[in-house]
Amino acid sequence: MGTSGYQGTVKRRLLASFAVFAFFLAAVLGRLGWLQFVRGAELQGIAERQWNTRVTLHPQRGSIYSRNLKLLAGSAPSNSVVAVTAGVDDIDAAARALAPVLGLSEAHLRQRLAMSTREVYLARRVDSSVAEAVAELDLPGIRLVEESKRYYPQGNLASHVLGFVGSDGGLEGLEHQYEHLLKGTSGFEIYRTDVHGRQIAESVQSSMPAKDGYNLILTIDEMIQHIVERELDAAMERFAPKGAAVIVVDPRTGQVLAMASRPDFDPENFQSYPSSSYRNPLVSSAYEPGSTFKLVTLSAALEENLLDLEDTYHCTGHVEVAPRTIRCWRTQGHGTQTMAEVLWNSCNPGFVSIGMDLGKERMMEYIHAFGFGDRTGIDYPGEHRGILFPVDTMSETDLAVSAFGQGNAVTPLQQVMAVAAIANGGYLMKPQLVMEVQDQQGNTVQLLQPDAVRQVLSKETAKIMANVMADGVEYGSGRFAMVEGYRVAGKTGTAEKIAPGGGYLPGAYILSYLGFAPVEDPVVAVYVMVDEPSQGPNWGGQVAGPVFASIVAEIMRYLNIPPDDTVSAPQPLEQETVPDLTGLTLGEAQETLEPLGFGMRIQGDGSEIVAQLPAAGSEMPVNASIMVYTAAVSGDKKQVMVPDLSGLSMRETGDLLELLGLEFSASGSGVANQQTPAPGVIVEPGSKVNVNFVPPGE
Amino acid sequence: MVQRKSPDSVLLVTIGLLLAVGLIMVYSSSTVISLHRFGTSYYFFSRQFLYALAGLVGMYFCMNFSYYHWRKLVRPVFFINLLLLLLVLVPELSATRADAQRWINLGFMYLQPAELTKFALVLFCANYFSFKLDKMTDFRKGLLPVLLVLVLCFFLIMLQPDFGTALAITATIVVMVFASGARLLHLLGTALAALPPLLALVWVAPYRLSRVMSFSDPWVDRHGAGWQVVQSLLAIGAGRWAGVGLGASMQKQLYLPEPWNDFIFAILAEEMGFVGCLFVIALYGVLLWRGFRIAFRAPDTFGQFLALGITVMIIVQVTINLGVVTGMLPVTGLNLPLISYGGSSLVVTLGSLGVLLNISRYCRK
Repeated sequence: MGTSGYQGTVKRRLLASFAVFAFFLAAVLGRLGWLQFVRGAELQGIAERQWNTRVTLHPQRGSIYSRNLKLLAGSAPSNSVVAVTAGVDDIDAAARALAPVLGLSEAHLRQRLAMSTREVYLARRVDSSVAEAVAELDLPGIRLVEESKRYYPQGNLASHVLGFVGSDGGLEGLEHQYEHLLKGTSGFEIYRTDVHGRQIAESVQSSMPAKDGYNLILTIDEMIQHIVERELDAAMERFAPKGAAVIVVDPRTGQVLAMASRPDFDPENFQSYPSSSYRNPLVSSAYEPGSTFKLVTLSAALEENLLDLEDTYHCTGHVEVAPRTIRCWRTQGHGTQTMAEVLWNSCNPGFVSIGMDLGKERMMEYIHAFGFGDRTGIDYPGEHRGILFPVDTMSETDLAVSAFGQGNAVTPLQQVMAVAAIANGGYLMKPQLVMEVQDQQGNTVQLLQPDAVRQVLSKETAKIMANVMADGVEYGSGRFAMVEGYRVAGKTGTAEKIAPGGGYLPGAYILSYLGFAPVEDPVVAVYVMVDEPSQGPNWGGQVAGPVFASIVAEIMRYLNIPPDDTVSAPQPLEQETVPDLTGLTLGEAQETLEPLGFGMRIQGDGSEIVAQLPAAGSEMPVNASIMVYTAAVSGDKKQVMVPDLSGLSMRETGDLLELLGLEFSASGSGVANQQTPAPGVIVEPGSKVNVNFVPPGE
Repeated sequence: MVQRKSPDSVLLVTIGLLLAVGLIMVYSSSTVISLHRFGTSYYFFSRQFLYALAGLVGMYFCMNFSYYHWRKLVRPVFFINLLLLLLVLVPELSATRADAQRWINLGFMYLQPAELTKFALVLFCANYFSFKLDKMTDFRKGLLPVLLVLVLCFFLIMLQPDFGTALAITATIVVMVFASGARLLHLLGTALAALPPLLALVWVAPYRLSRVMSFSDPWVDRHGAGWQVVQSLLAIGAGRWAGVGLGASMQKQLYLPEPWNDFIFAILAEEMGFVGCLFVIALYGVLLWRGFRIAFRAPDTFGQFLALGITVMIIVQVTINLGVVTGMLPVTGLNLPLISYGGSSLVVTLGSLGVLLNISRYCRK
């Protein structure tokens, strides 16, 4: 070959080319080494982050049972629809597909899917049909996550006790109080996905199972709760009040057996109720207790040996406590009474006198000792501690009004615990709602034992108090609360609502009844309150008393407490509907009322009845008198005689004066005790009657 | 002619090993998507297996077909090549993918004419140099005709367009021209003259520009233009020393699109780690060494340049592909010879290697 002379160049250049390619391969190897060793950990980290998806595993919320082990709140497995945002490749397509399935707008879903958070919950706790439809769509990045759904098999029963659960946990009641025990611990799962966010089979990298929440066993007795709820509904219908509430406590342990309030709500659909209905006034509201507080004053005086029940007190209708004059609810006074009668008559001047004997230090010491002014420590959220006079700065007047239940604000729970202390031989117990905490297997995690706070009264004083209260029910103002076959102790109360700016709200009363049964060996202490009744009688005893009596009677039967035959049937409890008397003559009215058992009191000189009190249709005890008003002067209907208004409530006064065609100007609050023009004065229709109201006793 | 010996056994074993690695990796990288798209995990593997068989038959034939017969086939091969390069531009015959007409649809497979162009040009040059080796220092009489033929093929391939293959072919021919003894000044001048039109080609196609731009820092646009490179780097990095294990790649879960194709080496790096990379690159190194050794010892200039051209053709593509996969070069769309999925490439490569093996049978001691 003639080209051999060029072979030298060719071989040199072949060698050079070989060297260059060898270098290239070495360079690639060097680069690989750098990527895999020097930057290996960093790149691996980035890669792991893009492969791994972490989802939260939700625990099942613990159940809540009554003490009879009836399920009150349970959790059912349910699915939530979650978007793992990194895995959603086409937001528009996903929104379009999901909108009809979830019943949400496309725009809303688009906005949710575009969020920068790792997990976005599109719909929580959906129906199983929706969950199946979502699973069928098999959209990249869209997952179903198990999340338990709360349900309440008993509906509204004990709704205030239970509270409810929002999307992020318990918001009210025990659901809120015991959130830390009920909710359990959430777990997680880290698994791998392809680039579209689809989970790769058997790719779980690490996981921690969720730990389900603990179950609660309440002190609430489901049967007693049912009794209470039924009676509350009846009271709501009868008195049409703004609200009503009852709490039943076992005085021996402080365990709450029932607690209910109206208006109430369905915990499963709590959003459809006004948030005001979530409030539990028994624990969260403080107001002036009124006469029920007289129990504290009397117990203190007995414990301190300041008086005997046989001691007497003379009530003239008012008492001077500089700079004020305190009036008895009974304007003309009670005259001479024993101390027991002072309690039964609920005589304010009598209690002022006892309070003065005690002095403010001892008075306040007992108020505190009974648990007022401090949270009872019940395992329930939002407890109000009450507001008491500070002992250092309180005046004589403050002491005087404290003695008969004004000036200090306390909660119904504090009141029922105080009376339970009297029932429990003087020992104040700490109220409790949860008896036991169990895990999902039914093992006891925690037993909550009854806890005595302190001894407030000696056993003897407590016994005396129980008996004088029981006698009050039989002979005194508490008679509407008599229960056939059982001796019960009780005390009525009429609390005035305090206006937000101070002072009392005119005509705004909370009528209450507080007591326990049976007196010899108490098993329940009960507090009943009715908030501003708008129909029917207006006295604490007549409104809250019968509710108390019905509840106690049913509980006694349910608990199989043997009746005591020596206790007679409560005659005064028989009631009749008041007939319409307007337009009748006095004679006709008399004939109408007599067979029903009602008496009649007449005001005016006319013969035809123009107005009556109580109004037609009211339920009244059969021994009550119906007040009828006749035209002022027969033949001349243009003139009206001013009626005697004393003792009437503001509402009754207003109703009556309107019927008679008279104008009404009110001052003070409570029951009418002074008026101008005086009763019996003849006036023109449309004349103004000025009426002064004072706080009522019983 | 000298007595025929048995072919270079080291090269033969190397080819066998690379082919085996390729089949394993095509299977491993494609199972997930194959199962998802076609309901069987063997869709890509079974095809590649058949291509490999066809390629081995071709290789066996070429191994026993005396290479100097190819001198008589230079023109037919070259014209068939030109014809195919024109046919692929006819819309009715071609399959368009990703806006490029690179494949002729044969019904049972897609033929990629540019793969044949590589061999046709190498054959042409080897033949040309065997006649004109003494003229190669003369620009007009020696160099220019080669350059014109190269430009013609380059132009036809760019009509598809397939910039990557065109560049690989150019690089192969440039190395052959360099080895032929052409003056460095001529080569440099030609390169300078070629630079403006090449830059213009980059400039007119936005995707080429974005590939070049994202090459400078793929992380800037890691969810857009830089996606493939970033995912490739993540796969390699995650492989570390020994890899995540054969078949256990995560990046093949569609993070790397079409992982059996141009970026198959990234999956190999992820599954087999640095050790696997070292092994495969060493195999290519052996191929480089044996190829040049054959070129050195070839009995004549034709055989010498044919051996060189075939070796360089393969190694250039290996180098560019690995440069892209490791983020050292902009994305070009070149596959990894003997390992990536693709029938035309595999058959032509194995056939070419058969020719190389045949040359080895006539080598001097």
